[in-house]
Amino acid sequence: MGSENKHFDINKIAELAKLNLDPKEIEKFESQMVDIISHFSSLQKIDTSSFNLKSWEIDKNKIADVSDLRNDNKSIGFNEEEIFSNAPSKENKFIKIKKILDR
Amino acid sequence: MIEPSKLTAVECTNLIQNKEVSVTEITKIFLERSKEINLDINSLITICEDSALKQAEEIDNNFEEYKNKPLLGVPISVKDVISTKNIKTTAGSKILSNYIPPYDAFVVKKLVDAGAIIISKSNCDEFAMGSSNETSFFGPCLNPWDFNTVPGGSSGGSAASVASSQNLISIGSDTGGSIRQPASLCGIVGMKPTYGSVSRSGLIAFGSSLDQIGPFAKNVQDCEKLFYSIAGHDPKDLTSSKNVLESFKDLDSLKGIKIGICNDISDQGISEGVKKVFEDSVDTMKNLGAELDEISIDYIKESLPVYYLTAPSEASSNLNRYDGIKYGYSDQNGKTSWDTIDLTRSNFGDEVKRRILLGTFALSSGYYDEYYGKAQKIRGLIINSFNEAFNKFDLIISPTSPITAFKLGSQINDPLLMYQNDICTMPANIAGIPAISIPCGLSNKLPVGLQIMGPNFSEGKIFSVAKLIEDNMSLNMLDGVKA
Repeated sequence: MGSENKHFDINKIAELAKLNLDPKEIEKFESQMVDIISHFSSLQKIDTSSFNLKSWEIDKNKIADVSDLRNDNKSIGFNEEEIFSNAPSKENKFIKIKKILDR
Repeated sequence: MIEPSKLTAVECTNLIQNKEVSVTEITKIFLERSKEINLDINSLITICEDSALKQAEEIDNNFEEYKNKPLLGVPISVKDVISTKNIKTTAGSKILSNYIPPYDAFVVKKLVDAGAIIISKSNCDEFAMGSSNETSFFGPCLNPWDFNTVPGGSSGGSAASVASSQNLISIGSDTGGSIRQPASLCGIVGMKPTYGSVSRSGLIAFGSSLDQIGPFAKNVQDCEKLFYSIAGHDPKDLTSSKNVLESFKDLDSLKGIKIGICNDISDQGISEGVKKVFEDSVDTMKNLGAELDEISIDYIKESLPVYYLTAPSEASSNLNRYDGIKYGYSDQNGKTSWDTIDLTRSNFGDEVKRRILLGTFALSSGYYDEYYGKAQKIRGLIINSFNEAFNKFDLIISPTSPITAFKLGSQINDPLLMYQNDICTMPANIAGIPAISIPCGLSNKLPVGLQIMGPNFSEGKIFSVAKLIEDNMSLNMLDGVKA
């Protein structure tokens, strides 16, 4: 529909999203995305000039402010065992990963 | 003789307080029932037998200390997107299928403090993305009313487990309707509280500006009790409110209460059967003395695109952390760490991939203003419209879901059709306001839900009004459950 959808480059978006899609997925998701994005193009027609940030001014009681940040003091967190308990691969006190250069 | 299907949470606590039954006995009854019914409907991902019995024994052995706790001995299931220390928490995904959190979510600590017994982790759509519980890596959960239909989603397992009395209450999360829609499709009560009234610390994040943890129960009284047990300020969630929430007085009529019927959503693809039952509930409110009038909320019809640009954008950022390096499922078959990331992330399911792609697009350079930015501006306009509406009305009502429980497999391959299921529920997430779904009748022998929305922090009033409506409809809703 809208010309903007020609700009939907599935390969570029998948790379940004760190998703390695196979050719079948590329075909399927590309056509679904174009459909969905066309469906959303109705938003572009809406005049939002009356919008100002004030409408986002959330009830003051609702959220914290800077004074709620905790003091910069030492506190007890997780111990080593807890921190590493879910790591897929580890050695001593380190998470072990495969090489990162030579992509 | 305890009959789980007839028992409520309040009754359960009373029985235990009067020493007619021990917490361990109750826990065993519901563990057995959970195991049995789970074989039919796949509502639970993990049954926590050992930890539940240990928790029950602790309460029985220190009864005096616990006896006045609000949820004393009540068996509960917790949606598997909410972290439970030392109990597997999968988010319904292969990516977290082996993840064991080293900490409890804030709400889980509150539940334990309140005396509830966590007996299971309930099935849900992968990372809470879905309206049918069919995107779960652990297979779909079935609706206990009719095994050929879905329970709704994403908190389908929570709703189905309460409806089939595998547990008496449950907690889920609601980003666009994920508590209210399954509550509606399973014939129980579910509430999305005001954004900020229940801490999200320990909830596996989906759309952080929309996500809210909330209660499921068989009736409004139990739902209210559970809500006040999990609400409250948490310094670990910067969006957590410091408002002290208070319950509202019990009502014997709706005289003086102004209720707006939200026509903009009440006419969008609502099935005839749902419309009819909804209109009956409007009559009930009229008979109770409420002042009812129609209301139009500007821009509310744009909720679907606003939601499906906002939630996936936030999700694409939140789910960037799953890389197979630090925790969770990891495919280490490649040569480099980049291969690990690629191979691991290819294990997300289709719906999750779709939303990550959509969100990445909406946030990408050159499209941000046109999509994500525009959606946020319209979101602001929707919030304004609700604020104006609540100057005129105390509460706003609509059906919860445009249709009753639909056939398994009937929508899963058509994402845009599936997205329509949340058409009535998404506006409350967009505006941050509280909304409850209560059963209001049957259409084709399947439950229909009534949604009641209110201004920020009006949970107390919503519960009181909902209780009165529930009393007056006297539906004996769960008699129709097959499981």
